[in-house]
Amino acid sequence: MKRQSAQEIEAEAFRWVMALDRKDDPRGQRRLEAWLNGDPRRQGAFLKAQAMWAAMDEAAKSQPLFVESVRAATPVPRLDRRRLLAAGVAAGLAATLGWGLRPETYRTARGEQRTMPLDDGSAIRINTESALSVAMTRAQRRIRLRDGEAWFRVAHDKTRPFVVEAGRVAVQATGTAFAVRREADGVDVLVTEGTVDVWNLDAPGRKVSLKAGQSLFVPKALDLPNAEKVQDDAGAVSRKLAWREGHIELDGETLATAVSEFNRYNRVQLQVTDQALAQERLFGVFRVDDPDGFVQAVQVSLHASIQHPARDQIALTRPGGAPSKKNS
Amino acid sequence: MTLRADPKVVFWVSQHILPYEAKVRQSLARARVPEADIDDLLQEAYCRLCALRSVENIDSPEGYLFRTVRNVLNAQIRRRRIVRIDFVAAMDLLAYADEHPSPEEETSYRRYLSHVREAMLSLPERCRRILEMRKIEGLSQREIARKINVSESIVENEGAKGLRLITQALRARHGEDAPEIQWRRRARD
Repeated sequence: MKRQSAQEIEAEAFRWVMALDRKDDPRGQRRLEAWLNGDPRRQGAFLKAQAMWAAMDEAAKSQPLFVESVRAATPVPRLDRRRLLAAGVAAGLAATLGWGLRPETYRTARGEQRTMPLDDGSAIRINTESALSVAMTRAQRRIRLRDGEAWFRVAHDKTRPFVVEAGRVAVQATGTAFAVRREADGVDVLVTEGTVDVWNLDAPGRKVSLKAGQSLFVPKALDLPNAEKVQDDAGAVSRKLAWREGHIELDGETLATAVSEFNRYNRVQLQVTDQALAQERLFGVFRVDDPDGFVQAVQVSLHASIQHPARDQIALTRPGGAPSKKNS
Repeated sequence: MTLRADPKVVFWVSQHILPYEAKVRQSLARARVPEADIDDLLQEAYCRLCALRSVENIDSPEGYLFRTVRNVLNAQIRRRRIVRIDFVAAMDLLAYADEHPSPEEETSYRRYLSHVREAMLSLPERCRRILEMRKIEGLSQREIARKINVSESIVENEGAKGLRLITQALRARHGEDAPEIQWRRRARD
């Protein structure tokens, strides 16, 4: 048998660290042992690969490392790459010097998504046009969602509750994953793992518990979470969080809702000029940065036609529909 | 027999050994040891570190790494019988570098981490996203595959590619790492 080169062995060792999940996997472990047994050099390569894997964790901690996963198909003028990178570096510097007096603020442009690791091992995925600030103290991990939407995977730490505030609405977790979205008329809380408590900061005694697969919309007028309004639909939660993979998933939403979803991500803005058309319901998975593909699907499935009233604007209407009827 | 290093040893290696690998590589390259042989020597050195039971008593990990590599070299020289000029020169240079330790451990580690960070940032998009999901969002390979709608083997390939690219980027930084060493060939006695 041909002798494996050190580089070949190293490449295999990288596959092993990549493939081995943190959870117990006895079969994978046995296969790994067999591989390690095949050549003592593999044991050295695997040690190095594991050490590098650990170093990458350290390198990623408390740094907005993976700055900018820009998904916008059309360049967004407000997005200044250099400025964003500079902000990342500044934040990184602040993190190495310890948390400053002011909490860190992170902002995403339209069409931009960003994943941010925190130094406690938690991670935040920030959606388009959002802003949040992070304040880590010994007693608490506090996030203020100022605008938009974010999903949180919280590292378990009973001594330091993880609290997300969106206006007067607060959501608390110890070790779990959930998303919070600020909308014009209220705050939506979606739980993907574990449990969270939702309450109003002015009424901390009235907490509503949500578990994985549940969601709760807290309307702005009241800002008080209502236990009777808890939705128990894991499919809906995962559809609403499809943005994390760059998708919009529609499962019977109205065209009006779908259009406002697309408009969050793109410079090209869609509008529906026909009331009946706006209430039609849609199904399907689309890319957040592909409004054209979505418009095509609407044209075909709802027999809609399109107009371009201005640059970067697409109006959807019914052929011969009321608003655009001219000569009759 | 120890197949896998103790988790404590893994962490120790990531913190105290990896930052000095570039310096060892630099010494060996100066002695004109071909790159494939450098890879072999280091792999063998890591293999020896694998057998460590405890690391508490190692005062200078940098010195320990240099000594380990020299032991590996020595064993090779003895085994081969044919004297390789590059290996002999490498013994000298390693001894010299070992006598001139890096200024401060903490600094070396920080610099190493910042190199790793830079390398991670310059990965191709898909590769980066996959490592990001794996490391930061804590997803398994299977979960990532399902999410981005590709096969598990593609996820594995991309992740392994990312690690390889990071290793290459770190290797390319040899020269910058130990500018404080004034290299000169010492006469052998």
